[in-house]
Amino acid sequence: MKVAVTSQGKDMESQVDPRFGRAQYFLVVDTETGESQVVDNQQNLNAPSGAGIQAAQNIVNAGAEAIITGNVGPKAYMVLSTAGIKVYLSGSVTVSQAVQEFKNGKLEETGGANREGHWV
Amino acid sequence: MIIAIASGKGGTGKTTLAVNLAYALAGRGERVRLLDCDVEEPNDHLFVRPGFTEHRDVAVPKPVWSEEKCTGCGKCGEACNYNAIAVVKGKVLLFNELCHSCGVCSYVCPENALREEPAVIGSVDAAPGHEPFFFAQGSLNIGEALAPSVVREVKRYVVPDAINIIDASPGTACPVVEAVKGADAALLVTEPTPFGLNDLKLAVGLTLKIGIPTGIIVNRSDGKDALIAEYADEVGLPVTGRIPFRREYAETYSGGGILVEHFPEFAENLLDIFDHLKLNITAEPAEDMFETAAGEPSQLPTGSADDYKEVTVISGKGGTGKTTVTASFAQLARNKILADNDVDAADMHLLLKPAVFETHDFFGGVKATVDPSKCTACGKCAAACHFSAIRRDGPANPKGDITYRVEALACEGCGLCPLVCPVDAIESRPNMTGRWHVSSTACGPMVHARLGIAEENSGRLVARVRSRAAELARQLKQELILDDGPPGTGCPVIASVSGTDLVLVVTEPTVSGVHDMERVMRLADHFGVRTLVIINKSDLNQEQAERIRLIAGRHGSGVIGHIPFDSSVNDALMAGRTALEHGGPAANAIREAWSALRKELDLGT
Repeated sequence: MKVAVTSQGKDMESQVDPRFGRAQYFLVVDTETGESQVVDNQQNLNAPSGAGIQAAQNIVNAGAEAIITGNVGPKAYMVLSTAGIKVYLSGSVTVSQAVQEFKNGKLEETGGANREGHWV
Repeated sequence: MIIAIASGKGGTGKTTLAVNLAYALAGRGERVRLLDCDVEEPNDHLFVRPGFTEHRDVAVPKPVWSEEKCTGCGKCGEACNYNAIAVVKGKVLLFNELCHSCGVCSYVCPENALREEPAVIGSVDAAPGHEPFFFAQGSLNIGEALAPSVVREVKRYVVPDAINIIDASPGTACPVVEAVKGADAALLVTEPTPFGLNDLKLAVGLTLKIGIPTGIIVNRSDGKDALIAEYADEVGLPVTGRIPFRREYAETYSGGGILVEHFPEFAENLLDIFDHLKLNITAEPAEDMFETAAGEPSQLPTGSADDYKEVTVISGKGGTGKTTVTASFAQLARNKILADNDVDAADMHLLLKPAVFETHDFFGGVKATVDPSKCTACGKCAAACHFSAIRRDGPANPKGDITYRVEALACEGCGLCPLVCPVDAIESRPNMTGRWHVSSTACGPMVHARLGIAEENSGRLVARVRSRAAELARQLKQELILDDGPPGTGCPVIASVSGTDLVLVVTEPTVSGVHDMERVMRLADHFGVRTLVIINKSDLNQEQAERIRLIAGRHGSGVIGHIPFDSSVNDALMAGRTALEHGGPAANAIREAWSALRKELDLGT
């Protein structure tokens, strides 16, 4: 399956970016083949508002079935859950470690936003 | 007539002036209306204590989705410049808090599946029977962005045969523009300190940009206000009045008292100011100046900390001594990065005199511009614009003697007009709204920024300042980031508080200080951030100080410092120095508070 991970860099050894909407990059990783594709979130990093919503829309469009990130707000969660994308929370580890933990069933699925929304 | 009371920043005495001027004028038999347009933080009611008998909701048009007509094409989501729409699995998700009511989505929808309907974003309360004057205020619901719409509704209570006093919100953002617009005169309240002057310049920039006759009121003036008088002279504006510095005034204010009822000389002074108002004085607005990098970085410090703690100092209302405390801590702390998060009215630089070595432009959203050579003056853009931002006063071209022009101050950058224009004469361009800098100061590296007048997106600029400070802290192995937070509880404060390690609330024992402190503590709780409190002017009002301690206890917080009322702080500020450099009881209290904070943060010695 395809899982998206918020990342501070473009490769699998980068740290997971704890932010969702204003993450630097998304790595969309195929858990079977291990192949990853970089989605630059630069444009969203500079979005005046609604970065979480737009980021969620991009994840939907990229065809990911799950997302691993540090925090997710209520608006982004609403978009992701409407699209049936599962949200998993990870601590500060590398993207490849996070994907490994995900494959081993170590990451817990969140049933809602773990952060209050804000309007910046 | 309409008089707007404004100030570049809170805590200068704006509310005091507005409320007391209303009482003084009503006291001599004038017909007065006091309209509190500080819709994010309406405070006048704490002093006026009105019995509201009228309540109206304020609504703006927001899109409503018809599922049966929608084909899920996604055009609405692509067109929305505020990211307020997502389209997933054939469903349109609308996020009303982000919606600016611009009408783009319903315009681009090919199926008419989005129609505009009114939605409530705030309310206006009025007390027409209040004695001795009519009082009304607006309140914006928390989380809503369209403060100017609520301000507009409050201003509907303006009547031509009364003296209408408008209390604007502090700062120079768009709600202030809306509040001040159309006034016969603006009175800008300031203090005779380098901070006061800095913020006054911003406020003057705004009123002159809109072309309002402007007067300056110096509060806490002690005859030592040459600083303000010289500036006023330089720009050609009058110092309309002076309010002296008296401890008795501060005490009466702290308990919610009306000064003109206790001090007849205060009333006489305000009436004198009013009677000598000049309604014809404006001056040329100065260019909006942004700093540029001037030199190479001086020796940057290196530490040995593996990780850093981040402390954000906030206050809710302005003028509680937040910057005094932050700047003093900046002098006491070692191995730290400073970050001025008050991007609307940054003033740490006044005390720390930074040498800028890194400068970045900051862009926020877009603004529309009409190309006058292509415009056929058909007027479709002006008819479509939901913000009345397009005027028929552009230059002539071969097709006609007038064209349309976008008024940048009113443009919300929604992107509707370029879509509507039949001849492609309108373009949306990225809008440079500010600059941010990295500087070296005697107290270490500092990240600071400046947002242009009446620009939005200050929250994102705050986020940018903080992320650069974090990079520097890691790179230079510093143990602390000290953030000087913005006033209020709005979007820039949220950007300043979220994810920090500790919020330090600097408050004062006054009714409004306590009121606003409670709001910021709720905000910090909301984001799961620990708080500690410092009470400034702690001996001003024992009862309010006790309330602060109770409220702190209720929020699982604690008071780590009591700074006494000390006139040498004012002297220090006037001289552009920190309280610490000046010495005295306040300086000692600040030192003690700093040791307490170090312990709480678990920083070594």
